[in-house]
Amino acid sequence: MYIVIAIAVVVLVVVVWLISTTNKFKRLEIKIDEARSDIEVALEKRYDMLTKMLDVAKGYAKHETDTFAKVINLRKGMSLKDLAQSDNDMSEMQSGLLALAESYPELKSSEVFIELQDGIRDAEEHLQAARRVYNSNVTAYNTAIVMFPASLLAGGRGAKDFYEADEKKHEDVKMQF
Amino acid sequence: MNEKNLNEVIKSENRKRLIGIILVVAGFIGFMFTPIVGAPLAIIGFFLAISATNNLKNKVGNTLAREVLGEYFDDFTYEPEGYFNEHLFDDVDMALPGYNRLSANDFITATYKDHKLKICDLNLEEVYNDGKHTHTTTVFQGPFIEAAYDKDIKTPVTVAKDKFTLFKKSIDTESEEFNSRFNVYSDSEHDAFFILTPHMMERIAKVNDLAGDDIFINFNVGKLYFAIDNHHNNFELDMSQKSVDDIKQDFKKDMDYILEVLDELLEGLD
Repeated sequence: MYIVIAIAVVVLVVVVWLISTTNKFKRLEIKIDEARSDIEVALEKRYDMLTKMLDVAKGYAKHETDTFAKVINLRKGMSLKDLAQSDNDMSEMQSGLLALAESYPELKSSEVFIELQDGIRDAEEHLQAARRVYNSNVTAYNTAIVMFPASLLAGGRGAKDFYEADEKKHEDVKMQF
Repeated sequence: MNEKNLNEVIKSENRKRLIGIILVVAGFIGFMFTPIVGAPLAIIGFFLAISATNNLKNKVGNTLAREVLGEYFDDFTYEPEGYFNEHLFDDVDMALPGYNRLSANDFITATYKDHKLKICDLNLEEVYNDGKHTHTTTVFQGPFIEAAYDKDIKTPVTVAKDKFTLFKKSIDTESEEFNSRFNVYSDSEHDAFFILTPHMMERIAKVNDLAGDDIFINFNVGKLYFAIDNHHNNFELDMSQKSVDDIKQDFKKDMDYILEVLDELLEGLD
């Protein structure tokens, strides 16, 4: 009788562990998808602001803007690598616009331009947060699928890639406490 | 009242306070031998000490508090007995310790470096009765501050020292050291990361080291709230303060302490 109860308890514990571990993987996958969606939203907002800024700049210096305006690909369902490429392309265009504004004081002091700059700054901060959330969840997921005994259930799940920052902007963030 | 008069008031009321305390002690001792003499002595001494304390606060403390605040802020209001709407302390989730009695005072409103500011002293107590006696434990005592800021978040983010909270899961940032020292609570992971940049996390750790005490922070929509459990009531008078200069110096220390912490947090938001 006691042996039967003991076996039932062990089976119950194993079943509970199986369910909770599988659910944990799924939960992390959902969080990663949500974080990726936040990256796309932030990139879209940045793209909108940049497009408007480009239009404003063309009103002051059409020829110069043509030299650095580029076609930026941004659509739903892009791969992480393509998203990062779009991010880099936007950063390059933005640098060009800001450099141009230095040569055209009327453009630089234009209210619309200043407002768009603030909007882009805000979009960049949200993008930075979205990247960090994404990478943090990817770290949690990649750790969860290799830790024993959960790794026994990981099955075909492979490690996910991180969202890499622009190489030019890549720097070590040292936090001093 | 000029400074000379204020100093005279301080000396006279401190003297009264001292006499009151001596009478209370004498009264308690006398009560053991002759209750009919001891009891009135203690009661007279008690009321004398209370009256002197209130006179000091009303005639000197409030005046000097306003003078000191005028050195920090161009435009401010000061209500010695005022405080925030009581419901605010419940509504703003700062993971403050549980309490069932609240008292607050020294309410200040001002503009500081273009940020609208409100400050009060907050005292939280847990009172329980075991059938025979009433026990009172102070669970929080210190300044509570609200400062307006313009970061775009939609859900509040709370940062508190590491305390176990049964129904809430803390959000882990990418900094292991920060995670080991603080718990972060929010319904939005994105907003938590948006506010808690590496720069901000450094500031919070620095502020906690500066304060040397438990600090509670809530980044709300448009407003930053923080409270410091430093077991200290601001703008209070005690018998060690012999002159106007002593009192003003202590009041300035109170303000410097709060503004130093606020400066660090506002800097982290820039």
